[in-house]
Amino acid sequence: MSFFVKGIFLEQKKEPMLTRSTLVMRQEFEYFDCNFPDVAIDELSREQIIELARLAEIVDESDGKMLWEKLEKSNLGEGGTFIVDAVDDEPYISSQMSIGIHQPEKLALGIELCERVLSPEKTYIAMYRHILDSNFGIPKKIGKYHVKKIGGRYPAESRVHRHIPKGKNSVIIGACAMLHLARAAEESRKMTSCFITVAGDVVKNPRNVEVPIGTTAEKILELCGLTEEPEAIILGGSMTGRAIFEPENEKVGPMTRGIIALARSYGTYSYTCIGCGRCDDACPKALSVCAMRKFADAGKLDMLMQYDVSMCIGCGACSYVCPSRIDISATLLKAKKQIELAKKEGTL
Amino acid sequence: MKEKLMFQNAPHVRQSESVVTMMTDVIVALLPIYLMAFFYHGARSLVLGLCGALCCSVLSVLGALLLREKPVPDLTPIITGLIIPLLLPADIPYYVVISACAVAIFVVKIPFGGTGSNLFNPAAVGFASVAICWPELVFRYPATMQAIEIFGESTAKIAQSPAYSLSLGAVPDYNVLDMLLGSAPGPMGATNILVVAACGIFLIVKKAINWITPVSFIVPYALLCLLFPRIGGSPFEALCYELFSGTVVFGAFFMLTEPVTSPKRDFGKLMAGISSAIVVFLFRYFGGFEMGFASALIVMNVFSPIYDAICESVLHVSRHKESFVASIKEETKLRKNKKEEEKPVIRVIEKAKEPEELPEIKTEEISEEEILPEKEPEEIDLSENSEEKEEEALQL
Amino acid sequence: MKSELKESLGYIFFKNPVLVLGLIIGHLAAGDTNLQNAAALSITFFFVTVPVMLFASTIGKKIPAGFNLVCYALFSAAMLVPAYSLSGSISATIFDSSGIYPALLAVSTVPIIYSSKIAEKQTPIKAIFSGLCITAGFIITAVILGAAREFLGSGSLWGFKLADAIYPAAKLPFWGFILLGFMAAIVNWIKEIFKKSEKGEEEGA
Repeated sequence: MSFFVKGIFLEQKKEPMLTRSTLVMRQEFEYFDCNFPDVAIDELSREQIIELARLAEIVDESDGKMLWEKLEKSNLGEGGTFIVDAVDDEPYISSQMSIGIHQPEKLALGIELCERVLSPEKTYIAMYRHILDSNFGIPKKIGKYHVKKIGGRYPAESRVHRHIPKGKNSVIIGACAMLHLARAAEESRKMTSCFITVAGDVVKNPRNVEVPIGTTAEKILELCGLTEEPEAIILGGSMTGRAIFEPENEKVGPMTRGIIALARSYGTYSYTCIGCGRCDDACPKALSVCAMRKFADAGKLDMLMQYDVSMCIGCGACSYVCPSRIDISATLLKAKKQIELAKKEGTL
Repeated sequence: MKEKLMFQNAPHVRQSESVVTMMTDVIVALLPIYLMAFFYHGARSLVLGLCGALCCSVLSVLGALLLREKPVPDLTPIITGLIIPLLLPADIPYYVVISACAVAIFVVKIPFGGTGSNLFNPAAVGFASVAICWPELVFRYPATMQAIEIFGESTAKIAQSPAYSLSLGAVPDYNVLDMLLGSAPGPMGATNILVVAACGIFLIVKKAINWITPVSFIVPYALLCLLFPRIGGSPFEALCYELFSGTVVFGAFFMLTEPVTSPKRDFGKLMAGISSAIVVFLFRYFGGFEMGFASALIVMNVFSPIYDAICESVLHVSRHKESFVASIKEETKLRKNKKEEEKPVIRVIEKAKEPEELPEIKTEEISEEEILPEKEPEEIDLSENSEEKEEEALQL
Repeated sequence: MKSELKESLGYIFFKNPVLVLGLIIGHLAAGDTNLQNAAALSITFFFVTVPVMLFASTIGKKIPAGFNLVCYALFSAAMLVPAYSLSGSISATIFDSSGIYPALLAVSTVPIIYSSKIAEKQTPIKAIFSGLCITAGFIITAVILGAAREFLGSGSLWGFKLADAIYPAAKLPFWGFILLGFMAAIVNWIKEIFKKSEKGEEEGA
């Protein structure tokens, strides 16, 4: 169906998490002070904001880097674009979007502070538009910042780059980090919590929660309640997260986007590949997935290199569409890892 | 809570569509064609279909047992077994159908590794083998609207099929409406064009087949028939006779679109459709057999991996566009430099400018390096995901 | 000594010239449609292979490198004459009825190169022995294939009608190739079983 447009349409299933307000899980200590000298927010200078981000230990949840390092490194200047990542194109996950919708003032303040450091020409917030299964309206503006609606098929996060003019600089920072920065400036508060979507078909009370970093998955699921015993608990997004076996030992980190409890795992089929080529159509990077899977099964790493397996972004679109339910994405990522190892050892 | 937890790889949501639903769609789409065959030829057509489906599924289970594999509840042999009788006349003896099924399963499918690994379309090869072996039975069609005895020798009246008259260069005795409705004699399932096309469109809507393959086959074939008509009269009439006789429409929807043997990419499917239109046309135009479709399809199946390779190489270049363009630019620059060196005397002044040009190139390189950090977040996301996955693997 | 003997005997089955080494597939698939053709092909193969191997093991070493293949081909072509006369003594028409294929055997270079390469390293007696083994392997394949195709295709054996024709298409070259493929698969299957049992014995020891 697609000559040029690649990717897949997913049922987003973001309701009712998106419209419900964020639930805050009580922390044992209220919060830590980040010991920053009392300066009025309007008068914070560039260096002071970076210092604030460093003291508050804010981690950017979109890539796991420290915010202050990112701010210090980049100075956008003329033609630079500053993008706030609130895309959330995976099903169920809506933790970044909900910040923009339920705490817009704080988000706007955080963005303003970052703008002061980065001094970009253009700033916008990126959000995923095609939430077809609910009639939720995305706001046009948050504070004074324009919201750019990223549409289209599933791996939309990789398409954020398309809106940047060529040859110009840009910085992408997650929305939660902005919120934490605003809190640090207003309340002198360290980043001790993270925003997580708890969802799935067996969760009694699905919603976005703010939990302390290091809370176990079991506790979070207890907070939201389960209607029946799940067959699969997933830490992370529904497309890229991983299934966990010991929810009492698995802790959430600043990068965790969600916890999803599913009544049924998708199950395995005993079918072989019938060569329908849907994976090739779905791949957002236009790789020859069907052929690559065959090479990966046969262990032909050199052929995989020729077919550019290193360009695989692990979005999981190929596994999603596969009618034989083959774990294509996992196979390819494993092969990619093998190639990287072999390159390091110099055997390839 | 712990006991029930299962391991699964990302992504954790999957499409509800599966091989089973795809294959059921195809089987459902084949049933109306059998109903039409029942209407024109009586119950024997249904028994033939049952015989084919049973034979193919039993043989494929046998094959799996021979290879010491666990037999999979696989619907593909049933489809093969349902398609083969539809290509044959309704009064065909049962042993012909059974031998076609045996060839399809035991020669084409299982030796190459079962479902998903066959090089050729099993139904096409099965049909071609019986067409070579018993041409006098396969190409002798009973007239429509007469019930054929379910068992034993058929006593039905024999009629000349439009495809045969076309191969002789004669105008068929039937008008276009007859051929659309299927009252002209011919293969059991391929004559009722309207029903076949409706079933094909059903499959396209259900996304069991890709629309590109049948469209890219039928349109060029129709064009070729318009350009080189085999019979006199108006070109439109000739086109209708060519399209509606034989197994062209049925094959385009049900055989050409077989996922295993067709190219994987849309562009490959387009190329395969066009090229098989040309080959089918040549087979029918010059060939001895009145039914060139199956043989042409077998020939074209060989090329589908090649089309895939062509698509991949084009995409490979497009993926590494920047590096290719850069290397070409470098080469042209080197050549220019060489040419300038070859004419040293006249261009002394221009040569002096060269050092100025060099720093410019350097600045370009720097700007490219500056762009690189933009792409970093994406890559880092990835590595972390894959690390998580490795941890999973270690846990396992 | 024993290993050499084993190697030569291997040409009968485990290193069958047709099914495992894949040397003369085309001639058999196209020409070997009944038992009479199989006999003609076998006699020709015997007269082409054994004398050529003897020739190669005795005189072959003395011929300069570029010319030996030409000499072998000429010699094997000359050997067609006794093959023709011998097959004529069995039945007058079998050589003629099997068409061009026996004659083609004499000038098909791949088996000649293969057999002469084996023979050049061996003494004349051993060369004759391994030539006989290769011929035996060929004869087994040709006879099984010819009998199967004759029976399936026309329901007879050596021209004697036994039953009605089951599957007339078996006489086509297409089916020759497919049957050869199946036979090769069976041989490989048996080979694997033997390998496994040998491995098991070694491990047991």
